[in-house]
Order: sequence, then C-alpha cells, then structure tokens
Amino acid sequence: MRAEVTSALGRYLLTIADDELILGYRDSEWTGIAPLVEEDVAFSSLAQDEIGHARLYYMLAADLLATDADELALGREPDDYYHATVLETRTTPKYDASGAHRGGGDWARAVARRFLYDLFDDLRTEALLRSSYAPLAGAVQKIRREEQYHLRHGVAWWRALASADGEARVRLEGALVALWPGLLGLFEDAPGEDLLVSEGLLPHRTADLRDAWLERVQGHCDAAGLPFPSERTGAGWSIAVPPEVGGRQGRHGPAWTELYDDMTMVRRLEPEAVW
Amino acid sequence: MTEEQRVEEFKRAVQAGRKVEAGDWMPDEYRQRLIRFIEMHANSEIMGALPERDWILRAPTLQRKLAVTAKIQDEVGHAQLLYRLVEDLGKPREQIFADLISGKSKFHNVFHYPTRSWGDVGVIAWLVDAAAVISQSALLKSSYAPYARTMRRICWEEAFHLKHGEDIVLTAMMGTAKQRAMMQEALERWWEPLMMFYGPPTPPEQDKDLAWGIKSRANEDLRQDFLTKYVPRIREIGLRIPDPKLRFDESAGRWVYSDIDWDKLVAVARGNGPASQQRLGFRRLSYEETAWVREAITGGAELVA
Amino acid sequence: MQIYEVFRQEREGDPMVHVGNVQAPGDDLARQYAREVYSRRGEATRLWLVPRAAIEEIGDAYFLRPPIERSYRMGEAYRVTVQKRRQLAQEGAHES
Repeated sequence: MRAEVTSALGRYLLTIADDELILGYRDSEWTGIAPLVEEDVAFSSLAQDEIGHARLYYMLAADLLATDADELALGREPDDYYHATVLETRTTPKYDASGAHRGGGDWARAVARRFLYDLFDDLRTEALLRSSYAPLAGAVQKIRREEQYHLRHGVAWWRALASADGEARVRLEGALVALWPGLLGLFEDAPGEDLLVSEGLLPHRTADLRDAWLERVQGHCDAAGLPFPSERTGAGWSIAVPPEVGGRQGRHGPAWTELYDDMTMVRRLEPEAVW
Repeated sequence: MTEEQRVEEFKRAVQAGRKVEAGDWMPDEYRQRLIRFIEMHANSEIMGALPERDWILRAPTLQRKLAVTAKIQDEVGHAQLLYRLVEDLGKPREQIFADLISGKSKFHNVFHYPTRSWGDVGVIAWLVDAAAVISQSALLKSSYAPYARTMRRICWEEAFHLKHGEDIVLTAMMGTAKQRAMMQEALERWWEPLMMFYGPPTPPEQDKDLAWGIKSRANEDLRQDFLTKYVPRIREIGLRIPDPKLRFDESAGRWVYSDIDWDKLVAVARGNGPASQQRLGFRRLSYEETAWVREAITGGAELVA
Repeated sequence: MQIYEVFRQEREGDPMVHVGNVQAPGDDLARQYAREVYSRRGEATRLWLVPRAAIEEIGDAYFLRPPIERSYRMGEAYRVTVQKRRQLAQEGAHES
C-alpha cells in the first residue's frame, strides 16, 4: 500500500473507531442509573460492545500506524479525535451540588441517539463488508453480528416511547429535533475518502450513505407516528437545518473537553506507566 | 396444631437444615426478616454501583475500562436478581426504591464512603469484594433456597471482580513510586470500613438471622476468615496495613486488632457517612428523573417516593 | 391435549431441572402423569409443570455467545495476575 493510502485508511479507521468509542463511553454512563434495573444491565452491554468494536478498529489502525490500540484510544491530543460531535454530548442528566438539574440529557435522547446512530452504522458497515482491505471486511463481519441485536433493542425502545402518550412521546420528539443537526453531521466525509474509494478500499464515501439513512429514519418515524424532521422533494431531500460538522476534522464542542479530561485523567497522571 | 406450634416446628426444621422455597408456607417473622435481609443486600449492590461509577470514564486502558464497566454492570445485575427475590416475597419494587431513597431501609456501610483515586477502584474490587465473597459464600447455606441459589451465581461473578481488582493493585505495585503511593493511600482509607464490614461481634445466640438460618455464620467468624486470608496477601505485595496492633495471636488462634468504633458504624449505616447523603440524593434524582420512562412502559403504577 | 414441560427438584434447596414432558388433556391429569413419569420412585421433592406454549426460547448462538472476545469479564484475562504476585513477593523477600 502506498504511504498516502495507508495514511488515509488509518485516518478513516480512526474515524469509525472514535465514533464507536465515544458513543460507548457516553452510553456507559448509564451504568448504575438506568430507568430500570433490567435495562441497566442491557444498556451497559451495548456500551461495552461499542467499546469492543472500537478496540477492533483501533487494532487495525494500529497495525497501519505502528502504534497500539490503547495509545490510539486514550493517548491522542483532543483535536486528533474524529468522532461526530453528536456522539460526545452526555445523555445522562447532570446535577449540581444542590441537586438541581444542570444540563445533560435524558433517556429519550440516549435511546434516539443510539438507535439513529446504529441505523447509520448499519449502512456504513454493510458497505465496509465490500472493502478490498480484508482485515477490515473480516472485522466488520463479526461486528455486524452484534449490531443486529443493538438494532432490535433500539426499535423496541423507539416504539415503546413513541407509542406511550404524554411525556415519553414529547421527550422523544424533542430528542429527535435536538439531535437532528448532529446526526446529519455523521455524514461528513473523513479526509482522504475519495482516495480510498478510487483504490477500492471503500465502496463509497460516507456522504453517499445519507439518503438511504434518511429513508430508513423516515420509515421508523412514520411507523411510530413521529414527525420526520426533513422533507422529501422529488428525487432528493430538503434539509431545513445545516448539519453540525467539524467532528471529522477534529473540531469538537465543550462536552468533548469535559469527556476527554475524564477519559485521560488517570493515564495523564503517569503517562509512561503501565496500568 | 396452633400457629405458635407451627412456627416452632418451622424454626426447628430450618435449624436442622430444611430448605424453604418461595411458595412454601413460612412464619411472618421469617418472611419479614428475609425481606429486610435480602433487600439490604440488593440495595447495597445498587448503591455500590455509585462509588465506582465515577471511574467508568476514567479507566486508563481499554481493557480496564471494559472490566470496570462490566464489574459495575454485574453489581447492578446482582441487585436485579435480589430485587426479584424480595418482590416474590411480597414487597413491590416501587416500595423498595421508595424506602431506599427515604432512608427507611439501609445499604451496606462500605458504600457510604467517597472514592478519590484509581487506587480505590483496585482496592474496592479486590478487598471489598473479597470481604463480600466471604459473607456471601456463607449464604450458600441459607435456609431460603432461592437466595442460596442466587448466591451461587453471585459468588461466581464476584470471583472475577476480585481478580480484576487484584490485578489493578498488583500492576500499580509493580509500577512507579506514584502508583504504589496511590494504592497505599487507598488501602489506608478503606481499612477501617473493611474492618467494620461484617458488623459488630454480636454473640451468635442473639443474632436472629442466624436463628432462622437466613445466614449461617457469625460476624466475627467472617472477619477472622477475611484477615486470615487477606492480611498475608496484602503484606506480601508491599502494602502496609494501617493498624499497629494487628497481629495473629497464636495461643488464642485468632487475629487481634485495634478497637473498632462501632458507634461510628451505626452512624454511617444510618446515613451519616461521609458520602451517604450525596449518594442517596443522587439515587433519588436519577430515580425520579426516569420515572416517566417506567410510567411509559408500564402505563403508570409509579409510587411517589 | 396439551404438552407440559416438567422441571424436577431432586433434593431440597436444589434448582428445578428440566427432565422431560408429559401430554395431558388438562392440569389435573398432567399432575398425575408427571408424578408417575418423573417421581414414581420418589425421585422428586417437587415438580413444576409449564405448558409448552408458555415457554419463550432463545437459542440464537450469536445472541447468547457474541463473537467478539470478552476476556475482561472472565478469569483467563487474569492469568498474569498470579505471576505478578509471585514477582512482587520475591522482590519483597529480597528487600527485607
């Protein structure tokens, strides 16, 4: 592989790995405080799965970039992470010392983000099965076996919240609106995707997945009777809100600074140490 | 047979080793003691998730991150198994949570303390869980069979937690001076709660949970076991136990240790520990803020705490 | 006729273990048949009968045993722990 191709593939793998890692990190925050004890256990497994998937992608990237998975996952500078910004915000509620609610999100946002991201990731991994880079296609095959259960979990919650009248439905609708620009930001290309497509390593660019995703999301909105935040116009889509981009370039929001500080806190105490 | 005779006969039977199933007749006192005992165990598992939860985001490697998350998930899973037992004994889950949040029911003293460093993650998973395994293993002989069976699974999982915690501590003890100091400092803070773990040395004949066979071993026995098993292991790896009086008395065949302030234990368990109110407050908020979810999927039946 | 799956407890305190099933026109006869088939030599301390239709089965291998390694949950990830302890104990012995 030519050096520029290796570097573009490494960068692309980091993008996927970072998406999975950051969603896994944020979702793992529900461990111990989910709405039901049963769901607590289930949701924690989903979070662990995502981190397990991230680790597989980091291992592939580490082979190309001559480093190791932990160094990639926890040892980079904050603006060298390429996840979509929608994944970095916390969905668990946050309280101040007096117990007052101070930001964060709620279960509707956690469920909606995970499900709609999983629908995106399903399209992405489906395409990656056709990558000519055999280690990637092989890893993705395993990962998809786990992801199909995530989708089932997602549909079940999506339907449950949408079909409950009152607060649950209002919150789910609110989550959809709040997340929409960020979700559209998932389709921002990573640098070098054109090169990867022309080399046959990627079947198509991330941006090309968007319309299929919109179609699927609309299907799930229609089935649940939820307002779909965009409109179909003839052959295309009218997107009223600008997508929230920058994540794929390493530009992130304040939620990322906070998460990064936590993620690397222990490691930074003694950077050369074995933990 | 009068009610009183029936109760006496039941008591003799469980003392002789009879095992009771959920659907069997049982004296009301036995049922109430079971509920209180298992409920406190369950509450401890779910409250025990909180001190360690803060470190889910901070674990220093991917493997540690996954292991910490899985460990806390297991504790919540244990709470789920135990809450089901309590519900089958007749106390609804909404009521269990309402009593936990209001402070009416208790959770284990060891979960009333804050966590301050990565050292705590290792010390808790290794030594607090080790202490728990010793008392939980004794519950394998509980007269209440569904509890004893649940304990088999719980002990099996706790064994992994111990390994995970011990590995964190050992890895740090093989590391830099700063890492070793972190483990030593954590052990010093956790030693007192560990010594209090099994409660005061109540004479076995006064312990009603023993009389009903709900538990099978006396508090001081369990503490002696813990010391026998873990003091050498702690010292062997270069950690110092912060009790100058701690030694094994060969002639008496038991461990001698500094006096424990049992009034302090009572105060902590009543909600006056260093992190008690903050933990309960957090549990209350996270429970109340997710009430709408439970309402959405069960169609109501939410009990106001 | 209905099929009932039968679970048996052989000793007090043991878990209920699936031992087989019986076919019967209703609950009352099912109880009789289950006793005859699964405890006529007094093998059981207790039997449970569950209508087969009430059983929800999960037999999906990928669901039950996901393909990606999870050694962090199990003991094998900590085989090295024993070596670490041995090494630390030896170092300690040298120092004192």
